[in-house]
Amino acid sequence: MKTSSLRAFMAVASLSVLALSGCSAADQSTNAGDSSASVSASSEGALSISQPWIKAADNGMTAAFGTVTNNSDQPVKITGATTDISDDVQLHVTEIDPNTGTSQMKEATDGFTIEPGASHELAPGGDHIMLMNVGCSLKTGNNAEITVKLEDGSSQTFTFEVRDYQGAQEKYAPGESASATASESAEHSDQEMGDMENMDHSSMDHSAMSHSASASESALPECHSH
Amino acid sequence: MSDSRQAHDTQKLPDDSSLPRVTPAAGEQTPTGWSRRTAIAAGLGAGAGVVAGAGSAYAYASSQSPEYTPNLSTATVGFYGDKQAGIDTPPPAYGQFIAFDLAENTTKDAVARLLRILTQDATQLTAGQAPIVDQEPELAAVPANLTVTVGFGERIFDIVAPEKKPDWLKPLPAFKQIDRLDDAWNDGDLLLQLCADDRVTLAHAQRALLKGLRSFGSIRWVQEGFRRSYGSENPGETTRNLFGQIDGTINPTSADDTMNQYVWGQNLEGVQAWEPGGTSLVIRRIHMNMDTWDLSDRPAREDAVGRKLSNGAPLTGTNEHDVADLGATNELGLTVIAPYAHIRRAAPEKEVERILRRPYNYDLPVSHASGISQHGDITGGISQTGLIFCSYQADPIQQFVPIQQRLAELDMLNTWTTPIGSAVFAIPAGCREDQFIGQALFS
Repeated sequence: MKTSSLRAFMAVASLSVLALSGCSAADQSTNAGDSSASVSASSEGALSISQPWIKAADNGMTAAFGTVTNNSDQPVKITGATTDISDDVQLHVTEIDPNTGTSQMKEATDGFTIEPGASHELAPGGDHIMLMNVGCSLKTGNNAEITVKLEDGSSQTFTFEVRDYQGAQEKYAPGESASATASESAEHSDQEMGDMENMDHSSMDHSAMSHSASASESALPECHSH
Repeated sequence: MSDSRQAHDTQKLPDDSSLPRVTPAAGEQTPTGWSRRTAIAAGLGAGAGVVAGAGSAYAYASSQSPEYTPNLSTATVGFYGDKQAGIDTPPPAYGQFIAFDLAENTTKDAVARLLRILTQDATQLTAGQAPIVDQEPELAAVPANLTVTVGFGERIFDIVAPEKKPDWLKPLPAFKQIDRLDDAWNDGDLLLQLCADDRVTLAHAQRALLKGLRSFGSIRWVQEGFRRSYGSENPGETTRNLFGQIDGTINPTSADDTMNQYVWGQNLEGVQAWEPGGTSLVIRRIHMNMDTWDLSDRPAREDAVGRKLSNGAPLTGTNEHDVADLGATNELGLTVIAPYAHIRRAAPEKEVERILRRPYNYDLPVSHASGISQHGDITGGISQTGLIFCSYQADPIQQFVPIQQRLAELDMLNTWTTPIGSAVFAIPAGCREDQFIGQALFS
């Protein structure tokens, strides 16, 4: 990591260590019964999630991942998500642009439907939960809660572990546009993203916001860890 | 991604009942007295009940069988415990020692976050599982006795808990007669000791762990070491260094109470561990001048150390583990073990002066090299060879320093060896499944 971003990272006011529950993410795995994961979280409900994590970010956009399993005997449809660190959370799918070979993120307008007993993987390069306008700095080793909304009106809250990650740099293509990128969208969050087509943002992506000097200078205060 | 994280749930052991076991089963004592740790598989999904190294390297002939499971693919050393693995556990073939410096203004909170992710990723890697953001998860599937051991330099304490910093946690006193320390190999805020029997496993673990630490600071140095390969020698054998000497004959052992006493500071008068389950690690990087070593013939080499090259027996004995008779004299009335012999000078003068040696060789590639280096040179010739001398003891000032002082004053081996790096780390206790390494500093 570049020195400049390190400096910015260290300048961020830190939470008291005591406010961090030591191995909180791991704690929740003890009765998850999922042999593939030491980190998993679940709350009462049809869904459980293994290896839940969210990409660290100093500001702007990021994405959350994990493998969601439907433990019920009915199909479950995730229709959206909310979190107190962002007021704009979207479900995204990722498609590879056949012209450029780059991954393009698009909103999953139909949500994610998980059949009984099936799992739905949220992973870099694939489906994920996208957080726009994150209002604080997500630091590796902390965690964040995201509540997924289900079609039947219920919801479930999961704890995601924040991790540094260099991948997950797919371009965001709202609507039919293939040009606007995630970070650019974040920086122009007051605009309608559909208005941004035809702008040249080829150099902008997730990494630009978290690792360039200018982005680091705008690192936000650390998110409250759960 | 999820598939690869489910490795090892159906591992089978090779059918090797007629073959020698490289490592004994759980609960047994190893021939060298290294302690056993079985994998704590529950909650990790690792192959339940699979013990470290079960099976034999000599089962290679059966590799054509569809039933064959390579030994190291299931060989795990349990991560959790009162003490960290990688100290009193058998030394694997490769050792990687990484000193990390924390960024300026690192906060207590940041150290907690660092240790939390480090612990979690180490837990998974040592179980043969991919950490949460591993981008090459298939490489994590062969644990190969991987251990990850964490050590603290002074700054961790200064940031987190100054009152808990051991008095001895500082650079060793200078040994002016011998030291030619290069700061490139000295000190560090955080130590990662990674050991494994597979070099790919090790490279992957190093990459995975350092990626997670990237935002916290920078790598200060990496020392890359090796011993005999898995399966090359019996587990009971004392390893040889690149001078050809058997190195590490008198070590504390888990076969009696000496490991507990000298390494873990239990039941040793006047010495106490800095925290229960904790210890210390002194890493001395020692250049070995292979060229001037070549100038000495076998009798001189044996005389310098006081041991026979053939089997490591003291010059007064027959077998490696015979006790050296330092008072024995020859027909001329001279001591058989010379006044300047390494084992005489290293022999403890006080009860506490014993250490656990767990060294790794290094042998750096050289290019455009030729000729012969001279006495006192630490470069030149056709080799860059030496020892990553790792010494574990409850209290380095009481246990290690007196020995090193005597050796600095007089030790014939100094003719060919030069310390070029030195670092001291406090090794914190191990942890339970719901803790992270070093968590006690935060309470």
